[in-house]
Amino acid sequence: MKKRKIKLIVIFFLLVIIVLMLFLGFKIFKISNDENESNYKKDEKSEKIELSFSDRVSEVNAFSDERFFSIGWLQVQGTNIDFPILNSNSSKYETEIDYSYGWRSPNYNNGENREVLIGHNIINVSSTPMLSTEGLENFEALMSFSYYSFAKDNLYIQYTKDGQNDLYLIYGVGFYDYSYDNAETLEDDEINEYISSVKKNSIYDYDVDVNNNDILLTIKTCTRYFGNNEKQQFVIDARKVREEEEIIKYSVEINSNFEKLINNYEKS
Amino acid sequence: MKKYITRILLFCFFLFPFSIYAENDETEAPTDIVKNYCIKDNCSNDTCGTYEIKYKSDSSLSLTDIANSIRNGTLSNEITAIRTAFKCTNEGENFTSCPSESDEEDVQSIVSSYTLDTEQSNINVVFKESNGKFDIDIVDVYSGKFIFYNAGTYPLKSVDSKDMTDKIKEDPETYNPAEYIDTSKIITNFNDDKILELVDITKNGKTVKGYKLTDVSGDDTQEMKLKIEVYQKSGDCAGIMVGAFSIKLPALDTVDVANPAISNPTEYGCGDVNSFKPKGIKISDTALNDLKNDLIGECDSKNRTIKYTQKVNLKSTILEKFENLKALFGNNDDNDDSNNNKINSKCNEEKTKTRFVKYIKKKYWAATVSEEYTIKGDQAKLVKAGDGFEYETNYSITRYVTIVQISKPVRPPQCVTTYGHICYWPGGSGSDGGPNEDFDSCVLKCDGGKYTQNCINSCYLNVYGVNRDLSFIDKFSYSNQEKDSSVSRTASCVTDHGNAGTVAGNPGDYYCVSSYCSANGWCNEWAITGPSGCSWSPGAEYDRQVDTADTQLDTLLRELNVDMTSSDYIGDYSYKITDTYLKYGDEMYDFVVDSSNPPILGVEAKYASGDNGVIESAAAIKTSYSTKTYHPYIKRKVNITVNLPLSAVNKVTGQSVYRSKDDDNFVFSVNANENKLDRIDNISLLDYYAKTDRKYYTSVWSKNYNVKYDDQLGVIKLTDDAEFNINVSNTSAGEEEGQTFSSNIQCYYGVYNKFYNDCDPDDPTCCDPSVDICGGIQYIYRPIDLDDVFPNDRSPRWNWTGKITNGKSTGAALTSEESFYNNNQTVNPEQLISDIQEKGYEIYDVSSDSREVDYEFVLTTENIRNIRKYNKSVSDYNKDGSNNYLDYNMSCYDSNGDAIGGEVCTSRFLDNIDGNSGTEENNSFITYSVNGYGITERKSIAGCNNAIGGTECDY
Repeated sequence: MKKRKIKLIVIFFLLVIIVLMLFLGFKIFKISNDENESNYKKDEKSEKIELSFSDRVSEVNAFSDERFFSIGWLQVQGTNIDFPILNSNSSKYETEIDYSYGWRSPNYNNGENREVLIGHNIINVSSTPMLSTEGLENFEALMSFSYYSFAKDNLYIQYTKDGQNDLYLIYGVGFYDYSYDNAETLEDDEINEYISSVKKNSIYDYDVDVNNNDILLTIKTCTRYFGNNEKQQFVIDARKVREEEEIIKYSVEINSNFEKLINNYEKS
Repeated sequence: MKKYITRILLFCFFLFPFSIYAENDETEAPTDIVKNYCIKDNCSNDTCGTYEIKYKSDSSLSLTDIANSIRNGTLSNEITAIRTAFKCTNEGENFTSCPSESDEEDVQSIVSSYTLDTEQSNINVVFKESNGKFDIDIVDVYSGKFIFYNAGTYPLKSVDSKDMTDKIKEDPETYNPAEYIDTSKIITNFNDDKILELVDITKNGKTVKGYKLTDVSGDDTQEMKLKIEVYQKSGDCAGIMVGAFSIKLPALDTVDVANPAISNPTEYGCGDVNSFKPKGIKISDTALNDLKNDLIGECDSKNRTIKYTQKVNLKSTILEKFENLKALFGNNDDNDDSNNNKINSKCNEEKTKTRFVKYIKKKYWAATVSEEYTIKGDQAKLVKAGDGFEYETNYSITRYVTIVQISKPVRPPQCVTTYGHICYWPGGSGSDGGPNEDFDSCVLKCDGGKYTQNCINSCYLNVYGVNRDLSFIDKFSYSNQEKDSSVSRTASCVTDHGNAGTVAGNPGDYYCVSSYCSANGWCNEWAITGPSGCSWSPGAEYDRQVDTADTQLDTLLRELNVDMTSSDYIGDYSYKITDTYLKYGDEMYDFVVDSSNPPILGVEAKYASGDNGVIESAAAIKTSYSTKTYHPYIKRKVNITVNLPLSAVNKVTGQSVYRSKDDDNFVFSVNANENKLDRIDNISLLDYYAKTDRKYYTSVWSKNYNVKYDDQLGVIKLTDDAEFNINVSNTSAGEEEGQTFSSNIQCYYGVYNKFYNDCDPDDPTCCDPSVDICGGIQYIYRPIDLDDVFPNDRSPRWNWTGKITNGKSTGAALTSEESFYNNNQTVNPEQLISDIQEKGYEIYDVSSDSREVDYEFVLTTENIRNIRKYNKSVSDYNKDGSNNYLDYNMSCYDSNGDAIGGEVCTSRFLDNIDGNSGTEENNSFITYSVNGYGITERKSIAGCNNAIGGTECDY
């Protein structure tokens, strides 16, 4: 009887200890959670920025005629890229256009969650590309993103399509071979894989959350940054700004890919 | 650890931010500048159009660049001049011989042979003035990017040595004439012949290369030139100045400087100008501002700059022009705002007022119109009761038309068309946005595949046939428009005829220079015509503008040539005369006559002198483009005289009425009830009235008014404090479109009537009621001295005077035409007076001659009483509202039966004196049986007429 009583007392204490531990665990979890929330709020208070993109809805519409037509209009922060994106299926535009333009990958189908936009770069292909907008045409000014000083301050892209101006934020900049996927339809798992590969190959680490629910945009052009043998594509990946997401200057840091770039080509 | 390494790297990056370019700087040689000097008239395809004009990328833009960038559209004669300046031969491109600097004449020939005018070149000179000192920036109009002609335009080739020629032919892309040509010098002919250095100049917020002069005195009026010397570096003429030319700078006195009156309007008087608003003048703000801006352009905010010479006397100029502006509005600072253009004056006081009328502005000419209005009345009048007076008022309107040339015909710049091509080639589809294989091969060949920018540029040109020299573009920062055309500039050419050529090699030609383009693509040509406002025929356009300006001036003058004598321009006048005795019945009436009354005022308008009253025009101005003479202003004057209307005087009462302006057989008398003149019906003018001049006749009943007796002079004078009883007003005189003038002249007349006992008792002629019957005397009779009918030069009344002649107050005869009563038996008052005085009292001596005596009778007291009694029984025979004491019961005989002229009227008042007829109502007035006082009939024609020499009654 006495043992039973002692046993009950022990059980009671054990229960008390368990309850106490549960309570403490909850408290610790809550504190931790509060801290996370606090950090998140801190991020929310990051520097807000104002973008100078222009409304191009009417330009997109006005650009269409019987010979060629635009399916969108691209503006990239910090560059002179502010021109139409043409439908690559148009057979004439390629030879009759005397202004800067880009085109959409012919693999794209309406409704897909990723678009690839391509543009020429012929003269700004050196390993020391011009950090300028002057005199550059088509996608040649994209090479400015190979400089960290430029990339950390220019984070947004505006892609005007279907009657609305949509903002995209950059989450990856990298050099790729021609074998680089040109964006056929991606399934959910493929999308996640793709996002991971972008972040892995990017020469900068962007503090941007990207997942398979995002609308993705890839813009790319050519380069001879590494000569005529490898990685002849310069690619910038971005995702559409989510609803209620604030336009802030988020963090961009150089990573080992960029350090390799510097080491290999003595750049800084 | 990794983080630290990164940070270290970043630290290094920020410490040495330019190290990334170090290698690049070493590998990138400055881009060459092609310096070509001699000019060929003609060239073939193998020598023309194959040479690339390049630019140094190290910012050491040389003066020879200027020589190559003289201007678009250089004409052939200018090319010849330039060639001469550079000692070229006509046949080819070689120097004929090396100029010798020791040869003074040779050097002078080089230096002075060609001068660029900055107005016609691409050189842009910016003056910055401060306290009479100038800083002068010299850049080219393309923001420091000198625009060079390519070989397709003017092949400014430099082939003074075989080596150079061979090099060009061998490899035109890498041809670098800097190896052959020394840096040139730019030297001022002022500022101690300073040699200028190429410096950074800020232009439109951008830093460009140019030359700068500082502290150039504004007093320096000499022609300023920049002398540009070009020295040969190698070859036969090495080290020798092989050419030179000058850039003529604008004279300092024509230089635009900031207009201080805009930045400091108060200090320069523009504050007053801007706030000025003429009182009482109807002028819109827009018109007023236009007027201010055109007349005092120095205060126009649009004129941010003025000429330097204007600045020196700017304030006084503005003040002077402001006075002129105010003068247009009559300097009416003290005027009554409510009625600015009204003038009041008294009697013969003269007053003038000037006012602004309108401002007309056309493209080349503007005109201000102002008017000056002057009024002057007559002096005050002194008349005897029953006498009339004239009162004449004089007005003049002077119209000033001032024409200002506000702009001049401008010779437009010659249009030139720049042609070029854009080369297109296939490509750009699919996923490859990069260079093609040819490009990569070219780069591989050029730098082993390092892709240096130099090789990229070179290969781009080779492969794509288009020059996209990024180093140049970066250096000079093209605008978007320039960027668009930069691709095609390499194939541009310039013409002055507006047509693209079809054959390469000459000015005006265009062609595709890229063999790649020809082989792999196609060209689309483009053309840009400019500069703005240009003309293909500047001379014809200039002449057309001159003709337009001519026509416009003539039109303006015609528009302003108004008829100043028209009734609309003269205005409306009225006379108002206050007469105490002017009555209709018992109602007082102020005589008013104006344009609404049927009697017309005597208004006469005549131009002052000359044609259309132009009394003065300013000296002719000669426009800079024509010898035609214009009048910059015209002063034209019209004189207006306004008189009382024509009157008519009652033959019996002496009271005046006014004649109709439409039919002078009708007269008008006052209608006090309706305050107007009424036509008197049923009474013929000829029966009862005599036509007279433009006078106002006072009533014989008038009492003394506005008069006094001067003891010392013994005369009657107007009082000093007379009440105004004459008022002549005028409205709507002058320009009918604008605000017109009005005026009011007040004056007075005085009436003296000694038969009223209220006259001055000191006046010895005043009626003495203790002796005379004073007051109420309407019909005056008196015994006269038959030897002197009107003693002491007394003025006879109206019925004794026809006209005043030679200043005498004696009467003159009425001509038969002027006689309205006895047309065929006119009375000559002067002769009658003479006859009476000649016969004197002997006329009563019937014992010697009874022929002049009609009747002889004695008036007894009873006779007189009877006559008075009769007179009281009659009244208002002529229906004028007052008793007349006369029935005018005469018998009239119309000799010619038309009731006009020839009518003889007689009274039968005395007919029954001898009792022969008992039918007359007055038969008892005179008794004939009183002790022999009956009448003795003598001539017995009394009342028939007074015709001289008449012996019997002719009716």
